[in-house]
Amino acid sequence: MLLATTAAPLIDRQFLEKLERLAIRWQKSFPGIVGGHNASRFSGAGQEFLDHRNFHHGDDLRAVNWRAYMRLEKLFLKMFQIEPRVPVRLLLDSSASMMSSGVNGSKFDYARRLAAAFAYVGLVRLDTIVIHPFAERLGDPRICSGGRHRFGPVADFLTALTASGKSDFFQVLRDFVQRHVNRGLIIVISDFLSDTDLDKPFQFLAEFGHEILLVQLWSDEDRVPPWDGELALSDMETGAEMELDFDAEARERYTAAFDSHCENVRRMALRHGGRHTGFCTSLSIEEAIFGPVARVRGMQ
Amino acid sequence: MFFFNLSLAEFLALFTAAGTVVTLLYLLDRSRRKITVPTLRFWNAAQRPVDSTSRRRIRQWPSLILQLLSIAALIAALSQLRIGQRESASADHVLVLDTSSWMAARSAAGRAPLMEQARTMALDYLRAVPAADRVLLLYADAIATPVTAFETDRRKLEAAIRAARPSDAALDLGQAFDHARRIQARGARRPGEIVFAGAARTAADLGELTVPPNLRLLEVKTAVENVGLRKIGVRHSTSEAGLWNIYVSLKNYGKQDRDADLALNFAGAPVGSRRVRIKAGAEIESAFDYRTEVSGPLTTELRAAGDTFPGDDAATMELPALPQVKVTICSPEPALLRALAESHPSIRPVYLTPGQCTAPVKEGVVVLDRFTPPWKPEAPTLYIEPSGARSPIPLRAPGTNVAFSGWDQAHPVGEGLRTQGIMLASAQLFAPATGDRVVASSAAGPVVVARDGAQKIVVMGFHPMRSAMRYELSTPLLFANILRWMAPAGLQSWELFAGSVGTVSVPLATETEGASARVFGSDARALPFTVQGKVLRFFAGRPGTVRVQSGAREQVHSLTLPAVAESAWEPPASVRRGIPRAVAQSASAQDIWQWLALAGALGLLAEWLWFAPLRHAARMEQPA
Repeated sequence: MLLATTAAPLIDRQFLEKLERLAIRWQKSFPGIVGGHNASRFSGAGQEFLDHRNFHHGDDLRAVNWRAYMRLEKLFLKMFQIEPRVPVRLLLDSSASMMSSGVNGSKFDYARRLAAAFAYVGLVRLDTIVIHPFAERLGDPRICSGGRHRFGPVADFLTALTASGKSDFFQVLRDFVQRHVNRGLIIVISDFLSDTDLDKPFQFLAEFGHEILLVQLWSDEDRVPPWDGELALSDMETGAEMELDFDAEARERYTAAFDSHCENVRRMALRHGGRHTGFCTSLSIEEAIFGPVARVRGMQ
Repeated sequence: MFFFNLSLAEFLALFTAAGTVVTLLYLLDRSRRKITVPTLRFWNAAQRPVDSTSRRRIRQWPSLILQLLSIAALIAALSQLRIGQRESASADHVLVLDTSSWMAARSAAGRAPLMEQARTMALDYLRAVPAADRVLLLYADAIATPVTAFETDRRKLEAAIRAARPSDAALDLGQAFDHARRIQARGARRPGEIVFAGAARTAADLGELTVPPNLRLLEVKTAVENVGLRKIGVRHSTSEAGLWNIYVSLKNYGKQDRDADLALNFAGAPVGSRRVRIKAGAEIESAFDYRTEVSGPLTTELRAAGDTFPGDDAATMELPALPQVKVTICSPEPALLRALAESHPSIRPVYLTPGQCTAPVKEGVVVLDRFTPPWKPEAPTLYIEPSGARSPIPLRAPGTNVAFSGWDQAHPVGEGLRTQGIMLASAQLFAPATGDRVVASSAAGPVVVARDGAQKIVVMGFHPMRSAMRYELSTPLLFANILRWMAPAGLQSWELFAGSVGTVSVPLATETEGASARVFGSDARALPFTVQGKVLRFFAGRPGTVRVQSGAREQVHSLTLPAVAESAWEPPASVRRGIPRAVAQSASAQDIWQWLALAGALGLLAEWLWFAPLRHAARMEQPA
């Protein structure tokens, strides 16, 4: 069992002020009520004019465009844009592999701060954010809504989380789909170092209409191990062990394999219509949000 | 380069053992670093087959090599690795430095004392011997005294040589050689030479001297002309009060006849002088008389041209004040006792008639001639023919024509007295009590009895000057014995001598004197002495004053004159002489163990500083 606690605040006030000008973006349009400033191509009860259509028997006479009738002596109905309000769901990897440490602390601490930033941005924009920690199973969610003044409890929730166990994306995403029928934006913050297959779970997710944004984190030593010599390795999640002689050549092979994996994750995300960004935890949160995350239009 | 403490094989064995331990510990410590990683999937790609046979490969060569080199340096320091050549004879020498009184002489007027020449030669010798050789320094005079142990520390030896000073005793060369041989046999790892540095002049002819076969002589050549005091004797006259008889013995040790001025001073004032001529090698005596009753220092000084040994040119003795004993004679015929009373210059007689002896006398000695006063005496008293019931010792019936038997010579009053064939026309006989001693007896009974106690008493049953005893030699001796017994301080015989340190022989008057003899040093502590027949001997190693009390005599020996060497030792021709050829100091081994120890310590420290953090970091990589 791995424990992770942080005593310091997740995000300081200065950074929160910078986050207030951001908003979470997604590419798809979802039917339903969606909060924020994202436009929808679907018509419904709204304020913004969308288009006209022919009047059919049974339509509401109040929606008839009488000026068009006086000119054209035909009955047309006005259609208006609907503003979608599907909640944004944030899946936070809290498996044991997230405990490897880097310059800015462990990956889990980094992921928590990143999740807190997303949550705050959503709260400011009156979006509803649902945070799901996961490892082998999907953890209990935390619904974040109601404005920025509701950020405190969110921060407390994230602070109390601990990282342990193995990561099983297939089981987790199946649970998610069963639990949440409505489609929406799913932001997955993880190191994606699970031994299980990633493609099928996310394909499953995409087939249910969800938009995925994968935020991949790694520490410096995840990508370029600094050790040399005779090593006895132990897997944080499975406990499996391995012995090997590690030198510069082996390091090159390792890094190439790691980069290949990251590329596979990216392509997998793109293949399923989603977005992917990955960065090292040595990058500060601020630089990460205004850099790689902004570049993939995760937040703008 | 060679090892001093260990052989090469021992060094290699020690290093192999230590190095093996270090290497094994290294390999054990250099086990696989345990690291916990998020996933093993990428490590598989980096994995190469582990060669189990080379699992224990040494990775950090610099660390192991540094440790082994440091261990080697430390072991080399322990084995005292030295740079240079091992001298074939790393020997232990004994350096005997002559510190006898003769070394205070100068070889010529104005030149440095012989002691300085000897020190210089000893220092030169020290510099000539190889640095690895050990040297033990002996100071030699009457007794050879080790000053250092076998040392390689040249500074310590040089300091001891420079500290050497001439003593007052004469050299006992035989004892010095014996001591040096014993020390070398006991304490030397590899015996070298016995080196004698000095003049080798001794107090007496050495006769057959056992010369060490490994002797080297650093001879201090002397051609010393010396005239000095040998002995001074002072005795107070027994015929005149306050008169001192002084006898001075001089000797010319040189090879030329010398004129010398002899001067006597008492309390700084000249009291006598004489010019004497002494032939080469001769000894003469010169006598002086000096009259004084007070105490004070009597200094005898000798001045001779060309004298290069001033140590024996002066001597000082303390003349004591001569006490006098007051003898109060209460006699109807004082003229009878006048001759006895005035026979000794220390006696101060006071003559009174019996009518004048009305009160007890408290000082001195009292003689009551045919008079027994009613008062009790408060001073030692001699009763001559006491009468009546007031006799201090009860009387028996008087005797007539009493044959004198003899004296109790065991008693101080009767000591040394002999009388034969004396008939006393009349004599009182005494009935002595318990504790009284019969000093003289007759056929009829005791005629002289002595009583010891707070007030000593002697009673005589006959008048020594009115009986047949008046012609006997024992009569004045008896009177002197009585006075000496009653007032020993006043009639003590004083003799003073000035001499040199060493063994002093004191003739005794009788063999019995030895039983009561006592010898005291200048600090009033008893000194050991021996008595053989009528000769008392004691040894004084240092200048000072020694008192010898025997019987009624006290001798004061002022041993301030140095014991002057009279005889020069002629060494055999086979004895090595002079300073040996100096061994080039650069060839002698240089001790470098300090640097090796420092290098070893620094190497271990450097290894710890450089490589310990890596080992610590590897152990700390496991998550909490």
